[in-house]
Amino acid sequence: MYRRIALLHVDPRASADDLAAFERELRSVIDRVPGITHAHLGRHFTNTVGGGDYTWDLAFADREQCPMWLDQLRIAGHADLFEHVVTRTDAVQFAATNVHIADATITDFVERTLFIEVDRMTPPDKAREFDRVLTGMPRYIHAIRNWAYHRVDDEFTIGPRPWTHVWEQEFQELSGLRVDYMVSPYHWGYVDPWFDPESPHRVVAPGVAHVYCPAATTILGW
Amino acid sequence: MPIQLIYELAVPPTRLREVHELFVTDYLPAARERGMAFAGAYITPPIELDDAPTTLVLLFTLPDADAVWAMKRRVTDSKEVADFWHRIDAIVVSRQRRFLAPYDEAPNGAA
Repeated sequence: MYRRIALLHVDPRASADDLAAFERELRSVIDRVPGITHAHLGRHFTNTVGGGDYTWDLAFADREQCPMWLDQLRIAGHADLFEHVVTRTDAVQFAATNVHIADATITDFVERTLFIEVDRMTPPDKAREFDRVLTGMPRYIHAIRNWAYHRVDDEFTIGPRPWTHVWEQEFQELSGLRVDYMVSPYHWGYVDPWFDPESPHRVVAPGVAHVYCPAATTILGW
Repeated sequence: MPIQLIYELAVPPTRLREVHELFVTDYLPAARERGMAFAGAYITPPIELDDAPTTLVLLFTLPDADAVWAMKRRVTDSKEVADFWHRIDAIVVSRQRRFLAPYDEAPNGAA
Protein backbone atom coordinates (compact mmCIF):
# COMPACT_ATOMS: atom_id res chain seq x y z
CA MET A 1 0.00 0.00 0.00
CA TYR A 2 1.10 3.53 -0.74
CA ARG A 3 -0.25 6.42 1.31
CA ARG A 4 -0.58 10.17 1.09
CA ILE A 5 -1.44 12.36 4.08
CA ALA A 6 -2.37 16.01 3.59
CA LEU A 7 -2.77 18.43 6.47
CA LEU A 8 -5.00 21.27 5.33
CA HIS A 9 -5.30 24.80 6.69
CA VAL A 10 -8.56 26.39 5.61
CA ASP A 11 -9.28 30.08 5.25
CA PRO A 12 -10.65 31.28 8.60
CA ARG A 13 -13.16 33.38 6.67
CA ALA A 14 -14.78 30.25 5.21
CA SER A 15 -18.40 29.91 6.34
CA ALA A 16 -19.96 26.80 7.83
CA ASP A 17 -21.67 26.20 4.49
CA ASP A 18 -18.36 26.58 2.67
CA LEU A 19 -16.76 24.02 4.95
CA ALA A 20 -19.67 21.60 4.63
CA ALA A 21 -19.35 21.76 0.85
CA PHE A 22 -15.57 21.42 1.12
CA GLU A 23 -15.93 18.30 3.24
CA ARG A 24 -18.47 16.76 0.84
CA GLU A 25 -16.16 17.38 -2.09
CA LEU A 26 -13.07 15.90 -0.46
CA ARG A 27 -14.95 12.87 0.87
CA SER A 28 -16.00 12.02 -2.68
CA VAL A 29 -12.38 11.80 -3.86
CA ILE A 30 -12.44 8.02 -3.88
CA ASP A 31 -15.09 8.11 -6.63
CA ARG A 32 -13.17 10.67 -8.67
CA VAL A 33 -9.54 9.63 -8.70
CA PRO A 34 -8.69 6.23 -10.14
CA GLY A 35 -6.18 4.41 -8.01
CA ILE A 36 -7.39 5.62 -4.62
CA THR A 37 -8.39 2.59 -2.57
CA HIS A 38 -9.24 4.30 0.73
CA ALA A 39 -9.86 7.87 1.88
CA HIS A 40 -10.67 9.63 5.13
CA LEU A 41 -11.14 13.30 5.90
CA GLY A 42 -10.99 14.21 9.59
CA ARG A 43 -11.62 17.62 11.10
CA HIS A 44 -9.15 18.27 13.89
CA PHE A 45 -10.06 18.51 17.52
CA THR A 46 -9.25 21.78 19.25
CA ASN A 47 -5.72 22.37 20.56
CA THR A 48 -3.89 20.65 17.75
CA VAL A 49 -0.62 22.33 16.76
CA GLY A 50 0.95 23.23 13.44
CA GLY A 51 -1.23 21.16 11.11
CA GLY A 52 -4.23 23.30 10.35
CA ASP A 53 -7.83 22.13 10.31
CA TYR A 54 -8.14 18.79 8.51
CA THR A 55 -6.22 15.56 8.00
CA TRP A 56 -6.86 13.96 4.61
CA ASP A 57 -5.68 10.35 4.51
CA LEU A 58 -5.50 8.63 1.13
CA ALA A 59 -4.32 5.18 0.11
CA PHE A 60 -3.29 3.74 -3.22
CA ALA A 61 -2.44 0.20 -4.25
CA ASP A 62 1.14 1.23 -4.95
CA ARG A 63 3.29 4.22 -5.81
CA GLU A 64 2.54 3.99 -9.51
CA GLN A 65 -1.16 4.48 -8.77
CA CYS A 66 -0.52 7.71 -6.83
CA PRO A 67 -0.74 10.77 -9.09
CA MET A 68 1.28 13.89 -8.40
CA TRP A 69 -0.50 16.12 -5.89
CA LEU A 70 -1.57 18.78 -8.35
CA ASP A 71 -2.68 16.10 -10.81
CA GLN A 72 -4.82 14.54 -8.11
CA LEU A 73 -6.51 17.89 -7.44
CA ARG A 74 -7.08 18.43 -11.14
CA ILE A 75 -8.44 14.93 -11.79
CA ALA A 76 -10.82 15.22 -8.84
CA GLY A 77 -11.96 18.69 -9.84
CA HIS A 78 -10.62 20.10 -6.56
CA ALA A 79 -8.13 22.64 -7.89
CA ASP A 80 -10.48 25.63 -7.72
CA LEU A 81 -11.79 24.54 -4.34
CA PHE A 82 -8.26 24.45 -2.93
CA GLU A 83 -7.53 27.81 -4.52
CA HIS A 84 -10.41 29.41 -2.66
CA VAL A 85 -10.61 27.52 0.63
CA VAL A 86 -7.20 26.10 1.51
CA THR A 87 -4.49 28.50 2.63
CA ARG A 88 -1.75 25.95 3.27
CA THR A 89 -1.17 22.29 2.52
CA ASP A 90 1.45 20.02 4.06
CA ALA A 91 1.34 16.73 2.18
CA VAL A 92 3.64 13.73 2.40
CA GLN A 93 3.59 10.28 0.85
CA PHE A 94 5.26 6.99 1.55
CA ALA A 95 5.03 3.24 1.12
CA ALA A 96 3.22 1.86 4.17
CA THR A 97 5.56 -0.78 5.51
CA ASN A 98 5.84 -0.17 9.26
CA VAL A 99 2.29 -0.58 10.56
CA HIS A 100 1.31 -2.35 13.78
CA ILE A 101 -2.33 -3.21 14.34
CA ALA A 102 -3.38 -4.52 17.74
CA ASP A 103 -7.07 -3.68 17.27
CA ALA A 104 -8.24 -3.96 13.68
CA THR A 105 -11.88 -3.56 14.69
CA ILE A 106 -11.41 -0.30 16.60
CA THR A 107 -14.39 2.04 16.07
CA ASP A 108 -15.21 5.65 16.97
CA PHE A 109 -11.71 6.47 18.06
CA VAL A 110 -9.03 9.17 17.80
CA GLU A 111 -6.55 9.24 14.94
CA ARG A 112 -3.38 11.14 15.79
CA THR A 113 -0.80 12.22 13.22
CA LEU A 114 2.59 13.82 13.87
CA PHE A 115 4.75 15.24 11.09
CA ILE A 116 8.35 15.81 12.13
CA GLU A 117 11.54 16.95 10.47
CA VAL A 118 14.58 15.04 11.65
CA ASP A 119 17.78 16.96 11.00
CA ARG A 120 19.14 15.46 7.78
CA MET A 121 22.69 15.80 9.12
CA THR A 122 21.93 13.35 11.94
CA PRO A 123 24.43 10.45 11.86
CA PRO A 124 22.71 7.25 10.68
CA ASP A 125 23.29 5.36 13.92
CA LYS A 126 21.82 8.22 15.94
CA ALA A 127 18.82 8.41 13.60
CA ARG A 128 18.26 4.67 14.03
CA GLU A 129 18.41 5.08 17.79
CA PHE A 130 15.80 7.84 17.60
CA ASP A 131 13.56 5.55 15.52
CA ARG A 132 13.97 2.78 18.09
CA VAL A 133 13.19 5.01 21.04
CA LEU A 134 10.17 6.64 19.40
CA THR A 135 8.59 3.40 18.22
CA GLY A 136 9.08 1.89 21.67
CA MET A 137 6.27 4.08 22.98
CA PRO A 138 3.42 1.62 22.30
CA ARG A 139 5.09 -0.99 24.53
CA TYR A 140 4.88 1.42 27.46
CA ILE A 141 1.73 3.41 26.61
CA HIS A 142 -1.01 0.86 26.16
CA ALA A 143 -3.59 3.47 25.13
CA ILE A 144 -1.84 3.37 21.74
CA ARG A 145 -3.88 0.67 20.03
CA ASN A 146 -2.55 0.83 16.47
CA TRP A 147 0.48 2.70 15.18
CA ALA A 148 2.66 3.39 12.16
CA TYR A 149 5.98 5.13 11.61
CA HIS A 150 7.38 6.02 8.23
CA ARG A 151 10.11 7.92 6.44
CA VAL A 152 8.41 9.95 3.71
CA ASP A 153 9.43 10.12 0.06
CA ASP A 154 11.18 13.51 0.05
CA GLU A 155 10.71 14.31 -3.60
CA PHE A 156 6.92 14.43 -3.33
CA THR A 157 6.48 16.54 -0.21
CA ILE A 158 4.14 19.50 -0.62
CA GLY A 159 4.28 22.63 1.54
CA PRO A 160 6.78 24.88 3.27
CA ARG A 161 8.34 22.28 5.58
CA PRO A 162 10.59 19.44 4.42
CA TRP A 163 9.02 16.88 6.76
CA THR A 164 10.96 13.62 7.06
CA HIS A 165 8.78 11.29 9.15
CA VAL A 166 5.17 10.58 10.07
CA TRP A 167 4.30 9.05 13.44
CA GLU A 168 0.66 7.92 13.68
CA GLN A 169 -1.38 6.34 16.44
CA GLU A 170 -4.97 5.25 17.00
CA PHE A 171 -6.39 5.75 20.49
CA GLN A 172 -9.78 4.49 21.61
CA GLU A 173 -10.37 7.58 23.76
CA LEU A 174 -9.18 11.15 23.59
CA SER A 175 -7.85 10.71 27.13
CA GLY A 176 -5.49 8.08 25.75
CA LEU A 177 -3.68 10.83 23.88
CA ARG A 178 -4.18 13.77 26.22
CA VAL A 179 -3.46 11.88 29.45
CA ASP A 180 -1.87 8.45 29.04
CA TYR A 181 0.44 9.57 26.24
CA MET A 182 1.43 12.81 27.93
CA VAL A 183 2.01 11.61 31.51
CA SER A 184 4.09 8.59 30.59
CA PRO A 185 7.70 9.01 31.80
CA TYR A 186 8.75 7.12 28.69
CA HIS A 187 7.43 10.10 26.73
CA TRP A 188 8.56 13.16 28.70
CA GLY A 189 11.72 11.61 30.09
CA TYR A 190 12.99 9.41 27.28
CA VAL A 191 11.42 10.36 23.94
CA ASP A 192 10.97 14.08 24.29
CA PRO A 193 14.69 14.84 24.80
CA TRP A 194 15.06 14.01 21.09
CA PHE A 195 12.70 16.93 20.42
CA ASP A 196 13.74 19.28 23.22
CA PRO A 197 15.79 22.38 22.29
CA GLU A 198 17.56 22.18 25.67
CA SER A 199 18.65 18.60 25.16
CA PRO A 200 22.02 17.66 23.67
CA HIS A 201 20.26 14.61 22.16
CA ARG A 202 17.87 16.64 20.06
CA VAL A 203 17.53 15.54 16.43
CA VAL A 204 14.06 16.89 15.58
CA ALA A 205 13.95 20.39 14.10
CA PRO A 206 11.82 23.00 15.89
CA GLY A 207 8.12 22.95 15.08
CA VAL A 208 6.04 19.84 14.49
CA ALA A 209 2.57 19.25 13.11
CA HIS A 210 0.64 17.51 15.89
CA VAL A 211 -2.98 16.87 14.93
CA TYR A 212 -5.77 14.50 15.86
CA CYS A 213 -9.27 13.92 14.66
CA PRO A 214 -12.18 11.54 15.18
CA ALA A 215 -12.50 8.50 12.96
CA ALA A 216 -15.10 5.74 12.72
CA THR A 217 -13.00 2.79 11.60
CA THR A 218 -9.29 2.10 11.44
CA ILE A 219 -7.19 4.08 8.98
CA LEU A 220 -3.87 2.46 9.82
CA GLY A 221 -5.47 -0.93 9.28
CA TRP A 222 -6.48 -0.20 5.67
CA MET B 1 5.51 11.75 41.36
CA PRO B 2 8.35 14.23 42.05
CA ILE B 3 10.90 14.45 39.26
CA GLN B 4 14.56 15.41 39.30
CA LEU B 5 16.25 17.03 36.36
CA ILE B 6 20.03 16.83 36.24
CA TYR B 7 22.45 18.63 33.97
CA GLU B 8 26.00 17.34 33.71
CA LEU B 9 28.46 19.67 32.02
CA ALA B 10 32.01 18.42 31.41
CA VAL B 11 33.98 21.64 31.76
CA PRO B 12 37.61 21.92 30.58
CA PRO B 13 40.31 23.09 33.00
CA THR B 14 40.21 26.78 34.03
CA ARG B 15 36.63 27.35 32.77
CA LEU B 16 34.57 26.05 35.72
CA ARG B 17 33.98 29.38 37.41
CA GLU B 18 33.01 30.98 34.09
CA VAL B 19 30.45 28.28 33.32
CA HIS B 20 28.96 28.39 36.79
CA GLU B 21 28.62 32.18 36.65
CA LEU B 22 26.94 31.97 33.25
CA PHE B 23 24.49 29.48 34.69
CA VAL B 24 23.73 31.62 37.75
CA THR B 25 23.25 34.86 35.85
CA ASP B 26 21.82 33.80 32.49
CA TYR B 27 19.89 30.60 33.15
CA LEU B 28 18.83 30.16 36.75
CA PRO B 29 16.49 33.16 37.18
CA ALA B 30 14.34 32.23 34.17
CA ALA B 31 14.51 28.54 35.07
CA ARG B 32 12.93 29.35 38.43
CA GLU B 33 10.18 31.23 36.58
CA ARG B 34 9.56 28.08 34.56
CA GLY B 35 8.85 26.17 37.77
CA MET B 36 12.24 24.52 38.13
CA ALA B 37 13.29 24.41 41.80
CA PHE B 38 17.07 24.61 42.02
CA ALA B 39 18.50 21.96 44.32
CA GLY B 40 22.20 22.76 44.08
CA ALA B 41 25.37 22.78 42.01
CA TYR B 42 28.03 20.10 42.55
CA ILE B 43 31.27 19.01 40.95
CA THR B 44 32.67 15.57 40.26
CA PRO B 45 35.32 14.54 40.92
CA PRO B 46 34.90 16.60 44.08
CA ILE B 47 37.79 18.88 43.27
CA GLU B 48 38.44 21.02 40.22
CA LEU B 49 40.99 19.33 37.94
CA ASP B 50 43.75 21.20 36.11
CA ASP B 51 44.48 18.55 33.46
CA ALA B 52 41.09 17.07 32.59
CA PRO B 53 37.44 18.15 32.52
CA THR B 54 35.54 18.55 35.75
CA THR B 55 31.83 17.76 35.59
CA LEU B 56 29.51 20.44 36.89
CA VAL B 57 26.26 18.85 38.05
CA LEU B 58 23.20 21.08 38.32
CA LEU B 59 20.17 19.68 40.11
CA PHE B 60 16.55 20.76 39.77
CA THR B 61 13.28 19.31 40.97
CA LEU B 62 9.81 19.47 39.45
CA PRO B 63 6.63 18.32 41.17
CA ASP B 64 5.10 16.17 38.41
CA ALA B 65 4.76 15.49 34.68
CA ASP B 66 2.50 18.50 34.15
CA ALA B 67 5.28 20.72 35.49
CA VAL B 68 7.75 19.08 33.11
CA TRP B 69 5.56 19.85 30.09
CA ALA B 70 4.89 23.38 31.33
CA MET B 71 8.65 23.93 31.60
CA LYS B 72 9.24 22.52 28.14
CA ARG B 73 6.51 24.63 26.53
CA ARG B 74 8.12 27.78 27.86
CA VAL B 75 11.49 27.09 26.23
CA THR B 76 10.29 25.79 22.86
CA ASP B 77 10.62 29.17 21.17
CA SER B 78 12.98 30.85 23.63
CA LYS B 79 15.85 32.57 21.88
CA GLU B 80 17.43 33.34 25.27
CA VAL B 81 17.56 29.68 26.28
CA ALA B 82 18.89 28.62 22.88
CA ASP B 83 21.56 31.31 23.06
CA PHE B 84 22.53 30.23 26.56
CA TRP B 85 23.12 26.63 25.47
CA HIS B 86 25.03 27.75 22.41
CA ARG B 87 27.40 29.69 24.65
CA ILE B 88 27.73 26.71 27.01
CA ASP B 89 28.33 24.31 24.14
CA ALA B 90 31.15 26.54 22.93
CA ILE B 91 32.94 25.92 26.24
CA VAL B 92 32.09 22.47 27.54
CA VAL B 93 33.52 19.19 26.29
CA SER B 94 30.12 17.49 26.49
CA ARG B 95 26.87 17.71 28.38
CA GLN B 96 24.01 15.50 29.47
CA ARG B 97 20.49 16.22 30.62
CA ARG B 98 18.62 13.50 32.47
CA PHE B 99 15.23 13.11 34.12
CA LEU B 100 15.06 10.95 37.24
CA ALA B 101 12.04 9.40 38.94
CA PRO B 102 12.00 7.97 42.48
CA TYR B 103 12.61 4.24 42.28
CA ASP B 104 9.66 3.44 44.54
CA GLU B 105 7.20 5.57 42.60
CA ALA B 106 8.23 5.04 38.97
CA PRO B 107 5.87 2.99 36.78
CA ASN B 108 6.76 -0.55 35.84
CA GLY B 109 8.34 -1.20 32.48
CA ALA B 110 6.67 -2.48 29.36
CA ALA B 111 4.08 -5.22 29.88
